[in-house]
Amino acid sequence: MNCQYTEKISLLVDGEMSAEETRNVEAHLANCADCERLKNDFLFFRRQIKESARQMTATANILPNQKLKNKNYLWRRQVPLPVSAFALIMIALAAFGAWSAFSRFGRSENNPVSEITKQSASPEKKFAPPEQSELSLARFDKGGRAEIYTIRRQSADGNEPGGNEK
Amino acid sequence: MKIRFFLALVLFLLSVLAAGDSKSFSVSARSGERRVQFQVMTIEENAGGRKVLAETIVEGLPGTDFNINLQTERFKMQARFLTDLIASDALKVRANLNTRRLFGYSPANLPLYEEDAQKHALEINFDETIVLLPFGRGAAETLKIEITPTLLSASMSETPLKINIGKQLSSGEIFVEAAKIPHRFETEVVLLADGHEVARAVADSLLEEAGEIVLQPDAKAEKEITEKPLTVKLSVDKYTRSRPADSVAISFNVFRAQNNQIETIIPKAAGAAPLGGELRYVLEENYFSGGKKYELKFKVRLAKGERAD
Repeated sequence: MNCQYTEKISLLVDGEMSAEETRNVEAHLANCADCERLKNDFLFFRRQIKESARQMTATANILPNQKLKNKNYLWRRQVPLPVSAFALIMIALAAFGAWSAFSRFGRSENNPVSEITKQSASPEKKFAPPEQSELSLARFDKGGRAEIYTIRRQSADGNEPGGNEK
Repeated sequence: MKIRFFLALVLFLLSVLAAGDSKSFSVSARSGERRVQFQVMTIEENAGGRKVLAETIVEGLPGTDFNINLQTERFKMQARFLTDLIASDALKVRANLNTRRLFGYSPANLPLYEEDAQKHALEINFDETIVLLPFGRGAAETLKIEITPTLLSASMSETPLKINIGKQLSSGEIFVEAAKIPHRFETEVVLLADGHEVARAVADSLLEEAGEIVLQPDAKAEKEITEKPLTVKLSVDKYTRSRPADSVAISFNVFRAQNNQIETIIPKAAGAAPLGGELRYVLEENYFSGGKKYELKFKVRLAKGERAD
């Protein structure tokens, strides 16, 4: 190709010419088949380059996630376990949980029934009043026998009884 | 005509006045009745003094009965008080105390209880107080229940039985209940020989108090009945309000005595009947000669002056 506009074709394709020069080159392209063919070649190559660049960018974005997916974390590892073994493990865990709950909420040392049972182990043991709250009348119960008697009214405020005691 | 009309008018007016004023007559007739009040105080007593824990006042006509119930986790007391006004300034109080205390458990894990039953008959004046110690005495702090009777004059209106709770025990372990039922009865006992009356006696009975009734033979009685009259020891045990009629329950035994020797005819028997109704018991033939069929007939009625309500 000996056309003097050959070098300007690339500038035209790249858009690096002024408006007047662009009109001159485009006027030439209308009459020069070689320059037209060259322009098309430049355009083809430019498209190829852009396509290649886009593919390379997409590859660069995907690559980190793929790496994460492929990373073998401990909790993502799969452990091969037979179904029967897994069932046995679950049953054992359930039994342990039930035993733990029963030992916590079952009979304790402070249960009054067990307290009375301990007393009956020695039948000769005398009456032992249980723990009483301040509000309960049980705090007066020391195992004595009920009594009834009469006193004169003027002695009812705590003096020694002066009437008959029945 | 005019005089007859005038007399008829006067009679009519007198009858109207008498009918209208009957209520006031009946009220005034009962105004002589008295009312009895019992102040039941639960007291804690120790070296520091006395503290009133609870107070209840029971008020009603003479013959008002009350119960004091105490229940803790391991102890239960039921105290029944039957009261009767025996004089203008004296009360007869019959107290039945029943206590039950959990002692422990047997080797078979069955509960063991310590029980006590006491009966007391007290005659007190209105300046005396009954003291009940549910747990006995001797401890540093003692629980006392003091029952103070007071005789009140009756108001014109017929006030029913009242229970006023002045101070309630916060734990609710003591509560008082009261009732008014008849206490005095008239008991009639008749001995029948082949359906014919040969001996009879009528006696007053007090509720839950046994009394002996000696049957007096009449002219038709056999010699063995005349020489060895029957004696009935009878107690009216229970009075139950019921409809159509209230009922009574009795228990009795029958014996005859001669020369300090007692021969038991019926050792123990009991029965129930409507008030005023009959109870019949056939006596064993081997106690009597002559081949006659002997029966005892009982009838219990309210005593004179006693009211069912």
